[in-house]
Amino acid sequence: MDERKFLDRILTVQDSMFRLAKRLLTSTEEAEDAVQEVLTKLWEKMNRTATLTNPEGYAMTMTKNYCLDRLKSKQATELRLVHVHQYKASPSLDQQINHRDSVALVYTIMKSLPEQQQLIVQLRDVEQYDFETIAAIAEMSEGAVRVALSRARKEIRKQLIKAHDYGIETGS
Amino acid sequence: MELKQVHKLVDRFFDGATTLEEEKHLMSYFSQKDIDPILRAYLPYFKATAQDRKQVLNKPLSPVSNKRKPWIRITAIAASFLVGFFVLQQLQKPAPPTAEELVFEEFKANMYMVSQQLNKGMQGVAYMETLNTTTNKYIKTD
Repeated sequence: MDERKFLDRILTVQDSMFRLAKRLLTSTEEAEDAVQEVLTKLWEKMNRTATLTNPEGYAMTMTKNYCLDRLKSKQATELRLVHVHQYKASPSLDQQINHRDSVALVYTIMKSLPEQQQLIVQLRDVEQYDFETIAAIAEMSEGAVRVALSRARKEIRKQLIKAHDYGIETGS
Repeated sequence: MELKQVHKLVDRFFDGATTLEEEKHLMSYFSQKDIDPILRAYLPYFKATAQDRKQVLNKPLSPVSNKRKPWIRITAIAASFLVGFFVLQQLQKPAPPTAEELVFEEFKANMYMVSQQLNKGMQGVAYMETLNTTTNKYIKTD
């Protein structure tokens, strides 16, 4: 496979890879680096083994693994960040009211979920993949994916209602 | 879609029990203007995911690794050479002389001077020898 063909093929997933990386790593720059890194690895792998049946799904799995690894090493070295992360886990009333933009509130809620759930929610509600695809990317069983999705959405619902009851304008 | 149906669908959605088809219905419901006040609490979620979906990667990609890597390797090699060079230089440079060595050097110089002076004196003695033999030619002692 030559470079051009490879890039054309990956074009269909590169945005999904980027969005997934951004969901997990938060920063745009880091997400871009992640996509580039995964792409390089995938290119090398495809040159070695010509038979790779679903490069798109494989690219997503690699992105997931890369991001989770990054998060792990980050948490190991930057303890302060972990602290901030935990703080966000239950947004205080002040914090919630400060979220004038209700969409930002959703991002905070999502960030407070366990990484595995963030991943599943991202693949389902943003990328709109079916359970089979998600299970393949997440390297989990379909049942486990359903359970994680259900837990994540229930938590999101709980937080949304809480925020709504505090009288935050969610209309506009 | 009837409102009652939407409510049911929302409940099933947050239980994680909806199909992709149903989720698309929900998304189109939440993308319109007229939303049931009770359901407004969930609007941010559908807005956020829709917004997220529009994000795209704005960076050209190339399968060949970013140019950073070979540079790092080259600088690493150059740096190790430099360090090695300096270390070698340090090793070859003789250690500064100790006090004993200094004293010894001075003593050597002094002894050299003494031997030079002694040689000069010996030359003078050699003349004396010649004088002796020449005078002996004329003065017969026996």
